[in-house]
Amino acid sequence: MVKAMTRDTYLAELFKVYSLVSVLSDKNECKVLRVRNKKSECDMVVRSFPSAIAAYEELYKISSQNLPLIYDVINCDDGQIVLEEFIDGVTVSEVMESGNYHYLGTRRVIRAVCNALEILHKKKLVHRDVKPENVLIGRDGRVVLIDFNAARKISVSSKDTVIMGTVGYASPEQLGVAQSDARTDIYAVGVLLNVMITGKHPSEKIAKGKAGKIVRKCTSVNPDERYQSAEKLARSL
Amino acid sequence: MKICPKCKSEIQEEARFCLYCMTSFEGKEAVDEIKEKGKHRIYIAAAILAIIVIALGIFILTQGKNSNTAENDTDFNSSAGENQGAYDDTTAPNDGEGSKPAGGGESTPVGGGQPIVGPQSGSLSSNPSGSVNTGASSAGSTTQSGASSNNSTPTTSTNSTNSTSSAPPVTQPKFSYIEATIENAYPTGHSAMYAPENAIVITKVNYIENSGNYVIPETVDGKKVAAVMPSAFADSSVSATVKSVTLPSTVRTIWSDAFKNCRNLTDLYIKSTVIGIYEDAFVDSSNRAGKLTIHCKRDCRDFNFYYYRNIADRYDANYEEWNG
Repeated sequence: MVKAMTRDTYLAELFKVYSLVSVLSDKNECKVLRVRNKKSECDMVVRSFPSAIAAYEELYKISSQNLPLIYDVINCDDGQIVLEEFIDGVTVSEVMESGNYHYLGTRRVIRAVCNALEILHKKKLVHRDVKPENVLIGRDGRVVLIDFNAARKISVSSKDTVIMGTVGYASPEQLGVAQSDARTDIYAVGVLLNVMITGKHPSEKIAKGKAGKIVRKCTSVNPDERYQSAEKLARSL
Repeated sequence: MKICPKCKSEIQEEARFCLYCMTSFEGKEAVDEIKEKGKHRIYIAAAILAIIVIALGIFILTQGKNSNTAENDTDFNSSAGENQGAYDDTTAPNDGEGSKPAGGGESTPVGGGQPIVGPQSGSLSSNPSGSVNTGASSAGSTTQSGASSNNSTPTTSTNSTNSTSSAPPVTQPKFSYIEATIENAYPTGHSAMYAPENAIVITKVNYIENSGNYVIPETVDGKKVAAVMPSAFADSSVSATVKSVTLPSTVRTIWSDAFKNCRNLTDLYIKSTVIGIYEDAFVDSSNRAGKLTIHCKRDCRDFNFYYYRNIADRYDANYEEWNG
């Protein structure tokens, strides 16, 4: 594109063809909109960020059952716009409003999350914000890990400089202790697993039996003592 | 500018996706899933096959020599078959259940169809045998068997919502219910979900509210209310009195015929946690005394599970903002 394009001008173009269904979230200049194609009535998610998130460009190239399809990534002068598949469903946190998950359901969801993470990790990406709000259960039963706003490339640089992620699900290294890598996500999956079964953070109440053992291993303070890959974690379930 | 090869619309030069017809121009790399499950299956299937073959071999070999041992071998053979079945149940409890309720609500997929109406009275506490969480395929039948066994034991009474004490024999509990299962608590197709723990679904409302304003509590006998089942308000003495119904945030699904015969129902208050309202939940506008108003949050009107989005048209209903 030769002429300068801002996010607003792109969105103005987009809204000629789409109507706004709802604002899914709007914080820190990051907007997430659900829009509907006026003609085909198909929905799509539009994410608008003040700065480019490299993860989306990587995600664009792949398709997986457990990750949302990225239709396009548009780099604008003042940030980035991502067009993403709309998945009709509810989040794990919404499901949990009516009670905790059964062990079988937990296993199914965690396995899917591990699969998504394994793909990301192979692409040298860390999600860094795995939590019930970011795991979507589609109406067809598809389990999808969403929201890559906090995701970043795994690099061999020093500590994380900006604190990203959600308190409670963030691992010690994410809070500035060391650099985050794939094992950061393993920590968060451990917390997620525990929350799904017990409804509580592992620090308050830890799941019984084998699940508890897995949670403990996932949430070890020392990343070396955690599962070293999402695949290993998935196999242990 | 370039032209979309599919819809011929003008699109931006570097666009990889046509905004008009929503077509992607570049292929994606389909990434492999963690193979564990598939591999496992092959191994186990191979092992079972091997056992069967060996057993069959032994059977054939020994049959000629001794008819007594042959009998034992057939037993072994059949138990191998059972193992296979059991394996399938545990590893894929919900596969193949993801069918959407296509078109109108009348099509009910076999596995996860709309649940059968529960018992006429009785409470869960009188049904210790009721079991949940046995996987989707068997849960449906659990619902039914639970229902029939409930029927035989009519009333352990509870007046108010939370008391579980063995109170003096009042005629009937306010609400009849059965245990929540994946089938009756969530809209069809939610195969990744499991029955909410310690939850129930309302099968029948047994009391008459003189004001006509029925409020379903969050819990009944200490158990969360997850859904309103077909014909819950249909009892003739009740349905005539229903003017407004307020549902708690624990409710996920309003099944077909939930408000059957409620001709005077004009106001329904729901939280955005409701993810499915089925077709035929209400009386058609032509048979209704007044206009129906659905009070809910704005976002949940667009929450287009099932017939939610079209419910206003379908019943000539209004929406009104409600955050209560």
